[in-house]
Amino acid sequence: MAGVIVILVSAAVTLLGVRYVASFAPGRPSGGTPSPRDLPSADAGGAAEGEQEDGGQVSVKIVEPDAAAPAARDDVLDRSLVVYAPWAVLAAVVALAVGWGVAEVPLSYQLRVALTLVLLVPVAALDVRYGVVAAPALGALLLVRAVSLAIEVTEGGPSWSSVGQEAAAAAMIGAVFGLVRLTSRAGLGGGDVLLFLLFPLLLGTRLAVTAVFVSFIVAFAYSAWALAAHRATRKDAFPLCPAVLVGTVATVLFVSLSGV
Amino acid sequence: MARLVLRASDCAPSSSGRRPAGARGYLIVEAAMALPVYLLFMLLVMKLSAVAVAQAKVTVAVNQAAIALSQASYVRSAAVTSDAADVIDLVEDLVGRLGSNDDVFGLNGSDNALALMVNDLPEAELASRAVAGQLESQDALLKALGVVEGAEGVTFDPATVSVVTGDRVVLDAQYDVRLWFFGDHSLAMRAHAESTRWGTVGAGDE
Repeated sequence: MAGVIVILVSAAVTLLGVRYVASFAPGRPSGGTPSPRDLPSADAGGAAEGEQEDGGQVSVKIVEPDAAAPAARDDVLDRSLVVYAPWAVLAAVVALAVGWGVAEVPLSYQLRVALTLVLLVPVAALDVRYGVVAAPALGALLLVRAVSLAIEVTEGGPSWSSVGQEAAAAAMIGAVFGLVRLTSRAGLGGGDVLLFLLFPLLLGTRLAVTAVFVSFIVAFAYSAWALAAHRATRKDAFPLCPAVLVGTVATVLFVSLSGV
Repeated sequence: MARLVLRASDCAPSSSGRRPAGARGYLIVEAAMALPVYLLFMLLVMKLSAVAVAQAKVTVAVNQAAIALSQASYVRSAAVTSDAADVIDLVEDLVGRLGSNDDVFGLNGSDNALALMVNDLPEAELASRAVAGQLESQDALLKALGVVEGAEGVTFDPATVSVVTGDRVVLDAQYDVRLWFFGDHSLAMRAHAESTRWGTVGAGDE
């Protein structure tokens, strides 16, 4: 019964996510120069290749490593995240729900992990398209935790000690990545830090730390490939949320498919 | 996966004039190369700290248990045992007549070293229960630190434990610490404590 509820709610949230992403019709590449404050401050010291001083005013030269077919590649990526990823993640949730059902995992836990995976898809799609971690999606993730807490009350009361542990882990992750952001001169987006901050509340401490670590391994692998293939320089930026989506789904599937 | 470089279209509004509100999401390539190493290092430091704290807690408990058992083992000497047994039997008989239960002194379920000595238990169980008594309040902390089964996970090999035989109390504790984030592996740990049994010093001089 719990598995059916999880699958139905996840399917509904997937549809809502697809509609939410579709509400932001993709803009055509303007070729114009965006405001510097809109772009990631890859290197506040001015070391980024894309930044040039121009009469005291900073202008940003947009780096395009593969000018031959950028639009085609972007379309494939966009299409993958908007059209295929939601249903692939939903299929993963169905597999997880079956495993969780066998292991009799509480509905509250099933629901919050499943909805976290489902909601990461629109977050990744919008990050790729606009370079933004959508605040409404983060709000929805917080709402998922609140609903999960309400269900825990009906399941016999939430374990406040584990909620406290999750909050402490969230504070620690916030401090670590806040420090990373400071020391790397904004090498990591603020939206990503906010997203990681929510992970312990949604996935539990152990799964969250593992998911964050695996996400960075995915980002590392992609960066290494991009550098080796001369598709990017060290100062270029890329959207992190797709790596977070891949890393989190892989971690939850690997760790949690057995019902843990 | 995501295309690499954020372009002008990323920052421009969509054709409908809208773009999602929120903070920026990106990662610089050089940060992506360094962060996994940094995170792995931090996880290693945290795990090593947890192992060190667990080892300190268990070592202190094993030491205290060894001292308590060495002191309490005095009651197992022949002279004391017969006198004490007589007194215990008398008191239990008296209280039994008054309608109370047989375990007047609460010796059966207690992990107190003296109570353990009075009961005729195997040496490994004596050591295990004495250490469990010392770690009773630390169980949740040990589990949080990754000690498998918490305080109950601290065990003793009957072949190496010496509590009531010989002139020394020797405790060799074994336990496992789970290595989170590094698969389902665990690290085998040991803690050793020795203490001279009371009543044995100078016994040969008598």
